[in-house]
Amino acid sequence: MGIINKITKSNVRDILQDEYGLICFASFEDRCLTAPNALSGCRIKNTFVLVNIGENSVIKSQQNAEKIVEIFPKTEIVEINLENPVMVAEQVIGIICKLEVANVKNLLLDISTFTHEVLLIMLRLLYEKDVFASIICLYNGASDYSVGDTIDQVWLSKGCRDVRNVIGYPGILKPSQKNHVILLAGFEVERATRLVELLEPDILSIGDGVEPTESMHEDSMSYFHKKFLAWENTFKNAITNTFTFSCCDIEKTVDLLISIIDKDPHMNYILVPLNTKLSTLAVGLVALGNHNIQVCYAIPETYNYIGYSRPSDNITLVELKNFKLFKKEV
Amino acid sequence: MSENPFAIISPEDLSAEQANQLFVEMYSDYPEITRYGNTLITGARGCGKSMLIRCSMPDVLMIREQKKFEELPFLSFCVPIKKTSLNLQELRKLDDKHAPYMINEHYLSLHVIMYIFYSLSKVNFSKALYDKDQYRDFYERYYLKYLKSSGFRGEIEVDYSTANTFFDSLYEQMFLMMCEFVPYLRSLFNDNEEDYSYNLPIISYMRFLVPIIKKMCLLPDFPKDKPVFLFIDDADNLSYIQTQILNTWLACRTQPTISLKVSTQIGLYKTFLTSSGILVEAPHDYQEVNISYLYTTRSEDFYGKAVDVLKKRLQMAKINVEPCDFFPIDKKQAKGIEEEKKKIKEEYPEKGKGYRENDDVRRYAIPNYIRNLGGTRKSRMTYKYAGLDNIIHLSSGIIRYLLDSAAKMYDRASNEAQASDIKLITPKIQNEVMRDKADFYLFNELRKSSNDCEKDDMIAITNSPQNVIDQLANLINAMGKTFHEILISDRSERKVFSIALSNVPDDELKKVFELGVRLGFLHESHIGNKDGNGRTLLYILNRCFAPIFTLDPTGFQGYLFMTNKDLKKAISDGKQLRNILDAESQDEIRQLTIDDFLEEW
Repeated sequence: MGIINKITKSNVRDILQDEYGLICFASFEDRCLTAPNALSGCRIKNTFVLVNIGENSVIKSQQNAEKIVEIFPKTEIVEINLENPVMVAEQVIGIICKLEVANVKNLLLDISTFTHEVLLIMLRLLYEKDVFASIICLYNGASDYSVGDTIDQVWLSKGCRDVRNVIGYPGILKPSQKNHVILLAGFEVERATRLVELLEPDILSIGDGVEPTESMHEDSMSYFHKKFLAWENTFKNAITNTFTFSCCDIEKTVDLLISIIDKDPHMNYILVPLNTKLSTLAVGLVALGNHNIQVCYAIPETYNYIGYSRPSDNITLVELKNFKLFKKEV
Repeated sequence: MSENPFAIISPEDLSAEQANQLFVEMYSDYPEITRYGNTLITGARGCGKSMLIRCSMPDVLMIREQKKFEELPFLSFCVPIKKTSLNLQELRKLDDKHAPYMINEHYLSLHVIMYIFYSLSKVNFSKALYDKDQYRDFYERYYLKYLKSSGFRGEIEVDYSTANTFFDSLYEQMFLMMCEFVPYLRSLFNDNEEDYSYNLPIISYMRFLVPIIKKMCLLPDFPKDKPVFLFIDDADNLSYIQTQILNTWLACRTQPTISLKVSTQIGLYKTFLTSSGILVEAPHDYQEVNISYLYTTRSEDFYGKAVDVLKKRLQMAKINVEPCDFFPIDKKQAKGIEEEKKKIKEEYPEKGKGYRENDDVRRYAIPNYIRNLGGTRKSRMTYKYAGLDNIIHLSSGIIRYLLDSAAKMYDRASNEAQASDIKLITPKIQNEVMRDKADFYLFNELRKSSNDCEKDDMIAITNSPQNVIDQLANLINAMGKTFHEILISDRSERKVFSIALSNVPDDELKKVFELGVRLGFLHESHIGNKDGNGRTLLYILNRCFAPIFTLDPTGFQGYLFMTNKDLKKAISDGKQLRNILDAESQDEIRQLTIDDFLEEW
């Protein structure tokens, strides 16, 4: 398998023929069920499903976790509290150790409905532990976002309650260097606004996502591109750079971010991914290769629990071990 | 400085010359901040705390007071705490597990000493006073001794060429210590086995920072026998444990030699407990200075100083126009308001409500003008928020809001005129920018209702709020709508911007108000209760939202008493706070006076 393959969900079984361990994230989105359903019939030795039981948890997440158990009866439900990233990291390392003890060599990670923060923590811990021969991320894109809303009323989350560094990516911020925030913006430009106020960067580089994961998003992307340009103007008085990045091509986004950083390495770089999970993987990979980089997570005030997304029929497979940056130096 | 005269530049990025030029003796509390003794400096985001600190730094003082470094009346250092610089999530792994206080204090002390050394590496020392031998003596007899007793085992290459290179060497060495510390934090999560072994140096405030600073101040080119001020800026960005550690520092008796000046946003400082659970209190452990102004009046400092800030910006850009002429009022609207004033004066003998004719003019001229614009949202939106009075009042005492508004106005004026020599901002542009800013601020967090101009509600409200944000949206909408209804009514007190609580709010209401305050939509204060035998909570709507609900932000405002029952209804449907036409509620609206706020501050 190459680095990245996009296939229909019905073809998943034909591609994934080995024995695997599986980690899922049960969410209020139905997309959390697409990959598990597509994988039924595959040789899944151990399954772990993460489910949030913290303050903003919703019943639907629990229900979806139980649906995953129906697909894979030996599933272990792992309760986490998204308000407590330390606990999340401890639970994740616990899962990895259990898989190691069970002699699982190949890992499948359904990243479709991970939060950006949990995905990045997972990436860091998988990198540090380095116990799997292969780690394949499965990503089910959305056929529709903010289901039922007109394009000007689309919302996925609102506000930015706070921002914190992601465990595993503390960075090293030197006082004599300027803080340069690189933000991969998504639909939620308002979340980005508050985030910038909280981080107070000396320099701000804002990325506008292009090349959507699904072609049906082209119209939405065009609308949000205009919204992005209007929003970008509000930061005119700060030093800003804008760039475009791919929402789906991880290697391209990795190369782009590295080129921005290499242009002036004597800055404190803070990366904030607010777009697709695939672009978040790109951010994580760049930060794995450079310990000076801090990665941050913007905590939203609330999510569009009722109509966040509708699943598509496609699944993108990403083999992490094929990325140079994911290989630990000997 | 950029071409836009009102561009907001981070105080840290200002050169000493720029900071000195822009400095306005903003607050009467300023002398207390530079007096020895610990100080807690509170204020809303954007009110000017960091600028105040910047202007207390040696480089700015040297220019302002025309003094050399060694002649300064005090030696100050700024230690900014950014959101994610110290409060690392990895550190929480140590909570209740392994020496969290010692390790956090080490990280905090490292941060402080790095900023001290970095600042000193940039100071314009008097070269004639530099004595290499004394610096070497300080380093070998004191610095290295304290460092080694903290567990440091490495080597340092010190450059004694100048005082600046000396401190730069120490800064780089401290940075290397930080580079060794951060991987320790990352390693805490590498395995299921809990291994917290810490084999690195540990520095602390009392055992390293204080003795080093004291000895350092004896160096020949430092101010002699002068107090040292450590400004810890944005201390609300510290974690809970780090805040406890800072409180422990406050409780130490290091004054008059070293005083801590801690700045924080109102209500966000995480705790006043020390590491050992003791409370630090004013005035015993520190003095508190609040530099936020919730209200602006002509006679009060903020209005005058805001005008001074704008004046300085215009002068620096060589625009020889007074602020009131640069931000002119809408003439047609002003004429309309004058006519209302005339009418009020004519009718005063028969219909007057206030004690004096001018009271009625001040209270009713603008509300009557707004009422006569018509009842639809479209007609109300013809009211222009323009003129210096309006834009200063709309900034709600936050200087950054004012400057950002002015900067956007200037940009828009430049774009429209296709020219860079702007001599005034048209009322049209002023109005558009203030409306856009209010929109942007509010709808960053809340959902807007559809663009139907005939619909009354600006905010997307719901009869079945799903969460606190929905409830807050309902509350803000209810407040705005009700305040507008009061404004255009026949009530005697029509300029209402606040609600006072008749009861102690329950948990559900508390969460909504806390969120509103945290987002900056509401300011929290206290006022005498209805019975006159105590005080109760007062929540003031941020004046910047006046354009959204067509309210008059100028002058002192009234407040409306609300029961929990009324508030619960408001947060559940967003329609209105209460029926203001209800005869019983005539005395439920009271007038705020300046004494309410003098008492508050």
